[in-house]
Amino acid sequence: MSRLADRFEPGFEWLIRLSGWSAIFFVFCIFIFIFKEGGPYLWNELQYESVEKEYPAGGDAAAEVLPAVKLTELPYEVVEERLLEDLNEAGAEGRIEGFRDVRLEIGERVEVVVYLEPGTDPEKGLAQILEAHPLRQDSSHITEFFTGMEWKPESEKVRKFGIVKLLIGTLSVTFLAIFFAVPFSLGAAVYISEFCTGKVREVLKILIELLAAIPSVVWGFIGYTILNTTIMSVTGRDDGLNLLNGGIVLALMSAPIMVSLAEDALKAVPDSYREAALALGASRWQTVYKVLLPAAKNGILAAVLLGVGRAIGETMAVLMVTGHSLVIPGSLFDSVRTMTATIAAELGEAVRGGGHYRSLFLIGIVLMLITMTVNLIADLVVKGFRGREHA
Amino acid sequence: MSFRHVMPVVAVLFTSLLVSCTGSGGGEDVIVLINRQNSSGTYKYFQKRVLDDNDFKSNTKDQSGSQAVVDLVGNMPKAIGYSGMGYKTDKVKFLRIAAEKGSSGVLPSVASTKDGSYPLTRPLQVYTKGQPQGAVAHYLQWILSAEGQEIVAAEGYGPLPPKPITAPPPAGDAAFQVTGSDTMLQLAQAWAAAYSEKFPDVKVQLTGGGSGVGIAGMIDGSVDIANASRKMKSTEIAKAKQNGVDPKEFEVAKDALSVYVHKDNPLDTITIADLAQIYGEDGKISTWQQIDGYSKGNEDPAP
Repeated sequence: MSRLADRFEPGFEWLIRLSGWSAIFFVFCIFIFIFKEGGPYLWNELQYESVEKEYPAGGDAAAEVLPAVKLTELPYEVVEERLLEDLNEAGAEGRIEGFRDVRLEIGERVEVVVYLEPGTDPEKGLAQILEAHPLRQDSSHITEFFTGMEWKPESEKVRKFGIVKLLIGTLSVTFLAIFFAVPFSLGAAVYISEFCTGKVREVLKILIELLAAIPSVVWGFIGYTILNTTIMSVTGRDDGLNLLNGGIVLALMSAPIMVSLAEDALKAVPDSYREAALALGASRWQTVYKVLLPAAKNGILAAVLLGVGRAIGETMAVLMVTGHSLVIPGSLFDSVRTMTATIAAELGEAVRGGGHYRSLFLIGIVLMLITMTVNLIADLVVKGFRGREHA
Repeated sequence: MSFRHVMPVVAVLFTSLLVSCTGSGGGEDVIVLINRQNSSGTYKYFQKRVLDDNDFKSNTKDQSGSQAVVDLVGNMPKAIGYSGMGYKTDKVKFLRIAAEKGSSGVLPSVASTKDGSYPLTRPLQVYTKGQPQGAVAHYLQWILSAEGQEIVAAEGYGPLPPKPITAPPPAGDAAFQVTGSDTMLQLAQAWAAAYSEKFPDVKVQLTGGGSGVGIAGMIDGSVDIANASRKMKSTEIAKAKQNGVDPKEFEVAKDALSVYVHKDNPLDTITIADLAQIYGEDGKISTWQQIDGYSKGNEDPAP
């Protein structure tokens, strides 16, 4: 029997090793996928080539000589407006038409028909226009992505992809949620780890873990129905889907993780600290406030940060309860839209490979970077805490 | 950073927050705008037909389902929303839509959709990969037959004049994928259920997701039938053709894009111009008092 187990041991070892490494592999694959989809947004360049085009006779009188500019790899739709402006400005020799029914997508070839004054040499005229007004292909699209206030990915006029409002939405909901959750989570953690004993403690722990297991769509539903009407009736407002609602729901969702981790941190404080405090005649409250909380500071901070990570990444519930409107919140009763909710609501119907699709993936990249940073900081904080403890 | 310093700050912030919560709303009844997410077919139709391709206001609450819009309006007395006619509940009512000021407007109904007198009538269509064959062809013809169109009316959509079925009924097992429009989901479910009851050998695998999802599936060639509450764009058709798919369009029903308000809302009729002012980016209407018929209705609620 034992011999058989011995024979399989190296295999098991390899399996275990593999499952460990697979985490790295999956994270790597997800990175590659998201960057592959969102990336072209970052490095696409605007190119154009001139193509002669025969134009059906008997149309516009001025349309005798009609070369067309063919654009390839158009980085994104804001260029559309600029291009029209540029070429119109340069239109001393002619005017531009086109674009009216064309929705520009990355990598799509779009024809811009340039109407020239009769008698102008088409090649020369076109070259003149393009030379005097090169199609702007600076980094404007990526700057615009990070600084643009408007998110209008499906506009029929000028499409705009600015994530400022989404970013503010995510940050404000997260901040509010943490603001609500931290006092309560800390209180609960202190109570569980220091004040209560025996059965109560076990029951409380199980209940809090259960709270963490409630699916996010159920939370969303609670916010959507109960909290919505409650906020409306308490504040007398016409609308209960707002920042406050989102903050409360997210606070409830991120509290369990904070409670568990903060409780662990408190437990990790050696009993000698408590005994020393007692020996000095400190009351229970004094022990918690003056000794345990400062001693467990780093662990608690890490708990809060992981709660932040949870709140930032939450999608379904915030989609349902924040109202999902593109507003910079001025009060608790304004609706907001978060980045995660935007992806969830819009990705399904965005045209594959189009500007909208790619910009949603770019939002995904931004989200990943944010959560990665938060988790990294949490990790470092915990490391610092452990390091000092052992020192 | 010490807890002694953080705690008072937190306490002050917290109380100020609680105090600010008790402030009340304004005296005017601000319209709560419920909208669809920006890639939905319904959104696109409303944008084209009512807003004349202008952008929406940015403070609309965007919902990702037809049902969600109606549910939300039912929970919010000052809300307005638009959705398919079939999603009406007891908590909401339809607004009569008037093409111009002064006219009494038309309520969305099966009859007014059928005869086209309802101004916001739109076609619902399905796309198939090329000319439909076999079970798909029979299913499609059955939808367009008297039987299928009766279901259309029963589900609260506008039926089309029925057509005879010419394709042979499906022999043996068959299965096909139907995906797409959220507006059509109820209807498609009713069709699929009735059809499977009649032809138990045929499996209709139905999912929603939205018109865009259906059309994306059609472009990929991964679905057999795509439901869409908007027409495919020329660029999308071109993309499908690049993938070797030649989408064929069939109009299967009509839908009255209905404007919903809470059942206690005194307003009865709204003009399309007013709707544009309510939803449009530069629209001037932001409170219910600005709409003719609202305050008057307030004084004399019983018609």
